[in-house]
Amino acid sequence: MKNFKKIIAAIAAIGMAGTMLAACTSDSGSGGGGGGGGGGATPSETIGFEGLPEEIDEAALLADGGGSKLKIYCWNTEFMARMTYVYGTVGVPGKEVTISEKTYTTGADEEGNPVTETIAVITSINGVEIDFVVTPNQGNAYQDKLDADIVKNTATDDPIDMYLIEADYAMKYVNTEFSLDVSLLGLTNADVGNMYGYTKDVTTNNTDGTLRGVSWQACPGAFIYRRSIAQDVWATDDMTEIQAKVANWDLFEGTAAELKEKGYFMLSGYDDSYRAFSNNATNPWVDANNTIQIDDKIGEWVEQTKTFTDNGWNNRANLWSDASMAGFNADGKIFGYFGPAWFIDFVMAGKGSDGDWAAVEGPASFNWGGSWLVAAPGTDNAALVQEVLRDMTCNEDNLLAVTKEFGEFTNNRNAMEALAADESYSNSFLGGQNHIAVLAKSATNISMDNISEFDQLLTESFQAAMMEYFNGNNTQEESIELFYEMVLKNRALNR
Amino acid sequence: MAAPITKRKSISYTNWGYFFIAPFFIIYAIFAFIPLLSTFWYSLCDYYRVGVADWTGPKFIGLDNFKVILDFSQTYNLLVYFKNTVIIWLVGFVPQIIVSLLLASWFTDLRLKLKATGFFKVVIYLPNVIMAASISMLFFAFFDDLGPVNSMLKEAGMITEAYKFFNNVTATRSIIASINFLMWFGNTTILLMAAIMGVDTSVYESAQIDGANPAQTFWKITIPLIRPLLVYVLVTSLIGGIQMFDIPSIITNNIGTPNRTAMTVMMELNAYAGNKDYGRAAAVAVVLFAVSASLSLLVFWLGRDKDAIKVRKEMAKRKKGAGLL
Repeated sequence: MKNFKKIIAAIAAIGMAGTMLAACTSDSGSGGGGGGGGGGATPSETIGFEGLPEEIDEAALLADGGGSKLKIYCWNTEFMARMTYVYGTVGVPGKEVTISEKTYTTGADEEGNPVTETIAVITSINGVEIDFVVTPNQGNAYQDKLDADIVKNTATDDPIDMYLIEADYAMKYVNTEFSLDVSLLGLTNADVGNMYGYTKDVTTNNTDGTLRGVSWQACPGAFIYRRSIAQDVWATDDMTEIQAKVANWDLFEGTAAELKEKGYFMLSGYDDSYRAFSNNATNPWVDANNTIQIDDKIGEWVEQTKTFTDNGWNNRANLWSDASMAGFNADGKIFGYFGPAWFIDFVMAGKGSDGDWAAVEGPASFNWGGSWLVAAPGTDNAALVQEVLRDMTCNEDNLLAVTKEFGEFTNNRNAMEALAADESYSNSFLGGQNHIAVLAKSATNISMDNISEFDQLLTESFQAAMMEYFNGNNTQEESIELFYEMVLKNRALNR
Repeated sequence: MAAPITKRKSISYTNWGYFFIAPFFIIYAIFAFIPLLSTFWYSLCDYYRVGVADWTGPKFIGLDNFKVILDFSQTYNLLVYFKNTVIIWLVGFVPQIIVSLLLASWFTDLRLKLKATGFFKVVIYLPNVIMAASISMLFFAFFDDLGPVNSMLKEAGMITEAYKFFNNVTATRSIIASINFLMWFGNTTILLMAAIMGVDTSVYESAQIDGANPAQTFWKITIPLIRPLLVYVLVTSLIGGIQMFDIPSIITNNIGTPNRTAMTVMMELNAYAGNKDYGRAAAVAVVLFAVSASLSLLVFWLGRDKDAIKVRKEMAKRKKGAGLL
């Protein structure tokens, strides 16, 4: 009895002392998701995708899967708004839809409070319920949720039918079995023939060359400048004259100095010009062995941003911070932002400076962002997924309607080139400019050959590490060390 | 001849106690103790994921994880993060224990007879009720480039451009430490008050009759008599402090800006777990456990009652001596 008490006491003592450890590991324990969080039971080899047949038969796939629900994973309301617009307002023959108001949590503001959006959203097509599952991007939450659920997709009664991905991590999905070849869904080369080639490069599987995802948007970027500041400094806001002042990086720096004298900032902060450099890199972030390589173009961005910061040519704001967004206010002091079409309607518009902007090609062509639609293996609604992909990404009329409604640069070469030449088209945010003409020109110079599956991690970490250098907290070499310290925690990467 | 008295077996209820506490131990074993032991095992394993579902391990690799995480030759290493954690903890804890002791002794002072102590107790405890995450966000907003602190400083003409508080090592660490202080000094005050009120009031009264002033009663009576609770406060705060995570993580966007000076050990652990490297995350957890356990033991040892030990030894010696006689 005495010994028993001693044992109980010992267990209790060890247990209590170790509670903190349990707290530490709860995070790791629950993170296993579908892949194998269970202790010890996890096989050491790659976990395959349970129940997926080796060869997928197209006819069987498209036969009615019996799904009463079309489940779509996404991280914000952008696609939802476009889909609702196409099916609800533009109208698709043979599709009866219902639309109702719904509220989604789409992110967190700078103070971390959840941001909710209530939007009118499509809720059914011909009686099939449309279920958008929105997981905000912050802290990798979207990918974590998608990863955990997609591995179980063939084994569940309520599978994901379609999901959205971004270029920065697209390869993680399109190079694996977790994405369906769109040709299996009946999308032919003719169907996708009018899409911009680089949007297809992003989602092409690197082993079999099949296309695993399609996008309704192409995201060529522009340099978007403030007309009133241009008027104040040079007494002109003419696009040809301003383009001449920013046509290459040397001119760009000279212009920044001129703006500084008048009390303006050329750029908002550190990361603003990043994509204009990184998208023109000669090498991807990692080589074939996943060894990290820092491209010369990235180095040029570091040099330039350091110069801009030291000279006070930028406002030292972080991308997406309140300070950066303050540049869109009526009294903003920021001359220009690098951004694609979605940056205009999704980020800049409606903050008090509408109509005071104009877009020019700037010093470099680049692509920034974009969302791709991927059909999920295990879908029980393949026929409807196919129709949505067709209606949303291949149909020229629908895409033209989306451009006219949202100002978006949609993924159809014919439609965009026609619109670029259309003098009647104008964008009110850009003071009546036809920005599609500028973007279409930029789109022809874009290559997405140099993306890697680690772009998001490497880009975010590199920007965070370099910020310490720009702020004068350490040397460039120390920042590089910091960058490696951050990213080498991902075991797939090597130095 | 009298019949032998049959010894009546009494019914023992003592074992029922174990039966009633069993549910706790069973649940504890499944949800805490076994995961806890598995942490030690995983710390010796290669166990990570790359891509969507490409798992490696758990595969035994000996101490390799520890070799990686304890490689102090790099500029940014675990030792630096331990140092950060301890500095931030101390900057918050030292004022916390001083203020708490002061408040606790005032609130319980027989002669002061403060009014509305109940109200103040609630007020000082309130910050502890708010989630650490919320209070961190509040402070982040306060000291933001466009926040009220910068606006006030600008209004007062002290600065012309927004001061970047979170780009300054001292400012960032102080803000984190202040939040810790604000959240925990009320809790500590309540604990210390309970301890002080446990001291027999007649001890204070007789000391006062003998002419002791408040400082003397505090140092000669209060402090020695509440020592066990002081040790408890120190140990719990130490364990909590070494595991500091949510406040610095939110304030610095999870990366310990500026330049990793606000990166704590738990944030490093979380960075491994976030990259799905459970083996190395577990190794950091084990190191953290070892450090907390040894520091706690050190505090216990330093806080032991030396007089009581001396008395006990003396008694034992006398007993021995008596036996020899």
